[in-house]
Amino acid sequence: MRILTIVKQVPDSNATIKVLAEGKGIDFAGLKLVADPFDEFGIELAVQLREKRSDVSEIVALTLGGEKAGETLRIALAMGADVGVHICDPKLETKDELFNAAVIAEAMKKDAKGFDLILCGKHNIDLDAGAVGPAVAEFLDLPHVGAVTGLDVSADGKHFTARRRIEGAEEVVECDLPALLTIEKGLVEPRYPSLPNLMKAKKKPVTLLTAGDLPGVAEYAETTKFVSISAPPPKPECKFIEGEPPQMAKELVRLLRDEAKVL
Amino acid sequence: MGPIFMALLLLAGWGAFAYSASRRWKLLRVGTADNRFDQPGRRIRETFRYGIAQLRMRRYPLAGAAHMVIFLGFGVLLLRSLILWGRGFDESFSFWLFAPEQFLGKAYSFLKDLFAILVIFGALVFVYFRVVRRLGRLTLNAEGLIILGIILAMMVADILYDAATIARASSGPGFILYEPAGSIAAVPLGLLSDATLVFLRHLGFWTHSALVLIFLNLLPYSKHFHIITGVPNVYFQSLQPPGRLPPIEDIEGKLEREETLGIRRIDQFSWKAILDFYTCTECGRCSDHCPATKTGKKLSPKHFTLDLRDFLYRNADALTAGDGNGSVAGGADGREHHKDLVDGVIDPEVLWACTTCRACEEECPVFISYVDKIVDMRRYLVQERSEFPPQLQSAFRGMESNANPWSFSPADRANWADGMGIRTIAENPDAPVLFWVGCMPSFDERAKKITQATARLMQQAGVDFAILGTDEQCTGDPARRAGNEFLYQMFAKANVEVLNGVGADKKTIVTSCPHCFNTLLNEYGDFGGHYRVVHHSTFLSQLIADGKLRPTNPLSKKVVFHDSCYLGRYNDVYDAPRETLAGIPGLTVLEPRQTRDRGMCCGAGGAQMFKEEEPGTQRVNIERTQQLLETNPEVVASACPFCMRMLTDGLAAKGREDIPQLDIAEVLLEAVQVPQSHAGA
Ligand code: SF4
Ligand code: SF4
Repeated sequence: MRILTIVKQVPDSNATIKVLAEGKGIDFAGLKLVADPFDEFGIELAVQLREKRSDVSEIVALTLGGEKAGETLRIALAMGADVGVHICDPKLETKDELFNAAVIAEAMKKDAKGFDLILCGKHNIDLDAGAVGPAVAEFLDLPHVGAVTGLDVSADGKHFTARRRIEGAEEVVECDLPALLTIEKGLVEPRYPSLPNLMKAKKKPVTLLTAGDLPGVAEYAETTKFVSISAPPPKPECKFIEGEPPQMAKELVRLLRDEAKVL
Repeated sequence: MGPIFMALLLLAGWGAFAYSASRRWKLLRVGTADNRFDQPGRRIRETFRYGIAQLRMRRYPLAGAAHMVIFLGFGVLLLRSLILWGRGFDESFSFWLFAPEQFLGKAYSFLKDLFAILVIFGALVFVYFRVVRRLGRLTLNAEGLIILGIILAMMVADILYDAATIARASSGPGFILYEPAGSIAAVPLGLLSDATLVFLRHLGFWTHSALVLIFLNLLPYSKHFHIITGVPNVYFQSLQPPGRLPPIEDIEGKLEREETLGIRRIDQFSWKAILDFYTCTECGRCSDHCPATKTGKKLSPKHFTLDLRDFLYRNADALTAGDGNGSVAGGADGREHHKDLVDGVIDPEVLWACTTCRACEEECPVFISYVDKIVDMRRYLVQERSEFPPQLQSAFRGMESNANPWSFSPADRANWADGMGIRTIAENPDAPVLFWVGCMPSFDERAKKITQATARLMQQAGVDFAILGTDEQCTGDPARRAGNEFLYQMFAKANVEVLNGVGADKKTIVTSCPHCFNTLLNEYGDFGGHYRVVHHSTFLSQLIADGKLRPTNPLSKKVVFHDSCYLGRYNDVYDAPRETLAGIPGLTVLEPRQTRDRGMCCGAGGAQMFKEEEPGTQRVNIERTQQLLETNPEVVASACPFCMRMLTDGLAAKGREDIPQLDIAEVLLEAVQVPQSHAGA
């Protein structure tokens, strides 16, 4: 069984995001970047599958973006992936999800050995978008199961049963491999790569691909257009009304009418 | 009295001992290098205080006295044993000067009798502790009792020999002033026939002579090895500040060379650690005060040492066979003596239960260390195996990406100072005082109040100080204590660079967190940062002493003070926080029974703050809160944000939220604040 995990580099969830002038984009200068925590679930799951089974031959981690995105592959390799594929092109960082999914699908087509299981996060935390996984599956004509919270791969490695949480219930899906799964929080807890593994990761092979290597990509066009980005308005300050309940109620009504002007 | 037999006895006894001793010596040399040969003057002083005068033994008064008597008795009786061995060859042998007719001989004879009796009493005290009182800290086993039996038998045999000699004397029995024990014991013997007396005299003589040799040969195989190794172990104690953990040098290089980070195998401990294992007296004083042992965790420092010692002894032959070089990683060869200690010798749960409070190290009479060993084993678990309590991962990741273990946004680090008119070091580069705030005091809602109180007090006293603002990062202490040395060193290097960059080496650094205080003061030296660091308790008490802060508002409250381990046991700051409180008119400082160097840990240290407590019968903070509540306080005061969190939770768990839990700075602020002048900057 060969497993591909797709990893995206995103700003750390606690980083303070600054918007460039005129809403042209995010200011990446000095911004702490990490591997998307949901994508890490995919890597962890792949590594755990290998630990549990004897038929996982290779785990490939794939990312796209400028040179810096390569750091994300190091994390994946330190966690246990064997080889990395880096579609190295800073322009891809501002392309929309469908475009990037097409790029990934093209890169996968170039891989002669093929993949039995493709894993990525349910969504990415940067733009809260989750189209890449399903779109890759579409481009490659593979089945896709989203937001997986439980997984059981059959002993022969040909089928799997996945559980996914849906509104008020749990859905159980049976499906054949190869397939693409996006992983929800809670299925696995990503490991903290050990230092020797971080060192070893530096020596694992990473294949660099550029646009020139993926001629098929030219056929795709972006389907969305970036207009501008803006920071959310600062939270207005909380007002505490003090006193006895009757006065407090009166004051509340006054504030709602005179200040908030909602009454 | 049988020279041939005595010669054989001595040869066999000393020969066997030489064999055992050389095995132990070889095993000691399996340990890795550690330079403990510096500062001989200081070492000799320490040895005199703690090895000879045994100052730490006094912490348990009765046991300490009994031990002192036996210790001195052994010293005195050593000469006696030599004399008796000599008498095996020449009946009247007495080392010349000590002959019975000489003054020195008489004096010695008196002393020897006195100590023989005292040693009997001392040994009986120990029998009483073991058999009657069955003290929890001691393990009731045959070994301890056999040794005590031998000591008693040696003394009795010696007195018997003297008594029979006196009883046979031509002058007949009578009280000899310089042989009090012998002559008293001779009285009943006077009734026996001469043949019986001859037999008893021989019995006493040979029993004593042989028992000394048997005793000698038991030493290397028992806890009584400390009779030989105890004094050297005190001599070779660490002279480093107790708060400094030795860094792992050249981590990257070690990784390249595939050497172990931390301690994985028994032969990776230093020779001094092995000497520690040899020396443990099994007295259990360490575990008696260990917060983990007290609250039913798997960790008992005494058993930690003993488990390692027993494993070491079990594998002594394989280890000394010459292939146990600790500097080589390997280890996965499946051989018992190369096995990972965490796989069956020391349960990781034991390692993770330690709060690094140093109560054990403060107590151990022979200066055995624990925290360095426990952290070294954590280092291996964390860095090489990546195995640690899962909650620690978010602390590590938080530190990695946000420079604080809670993942607060680093941009908010100085928000506590908003509107207080506090300048950063960039705005006030010449400020003589740098206020190092720390993570919890910067971000935690409750702890921010400590920070603000400290800052207000400094403002009120007219101290010209500055903060690093968003340039401040975690000191790395939680990572270091959790075994993530690599992460710690990243912070240490980065912070030293920032601090040296603003000239902090020429300023006074004030901290309100004892963990920051300890790290900045004791641990950054290894990374090129040498600073004058004071904890706010010391700084504030100095401001009061200098008359710059006048606590004039009376506060008629009974306040119990809880010692922080990293302030007290780690850095000997006990008086300053008390003085700060005691300077407030009307305020009474209460002391719990477990206080100062015996104060119990709150349970947060050693990265416990960032993980679930290990399973046990009680939570450490609740146990500590209970101890504090026994003083019937009106306020519980502390001087550490971590202690504050633990004690506040403890009070809540005890249903005593009515008792405020305040930092000494907050208490002081109430006492100095002049209501109308909110002076500000
Ligand atoms: S440092 Fe404290 S918690 Fe750790 S073993 Fe010693 S006494 Fe116990
Ligand atoms: S380590 Fe020290 S305190 Fe603990 S049992 Fe051994 S000798 Fe006693």
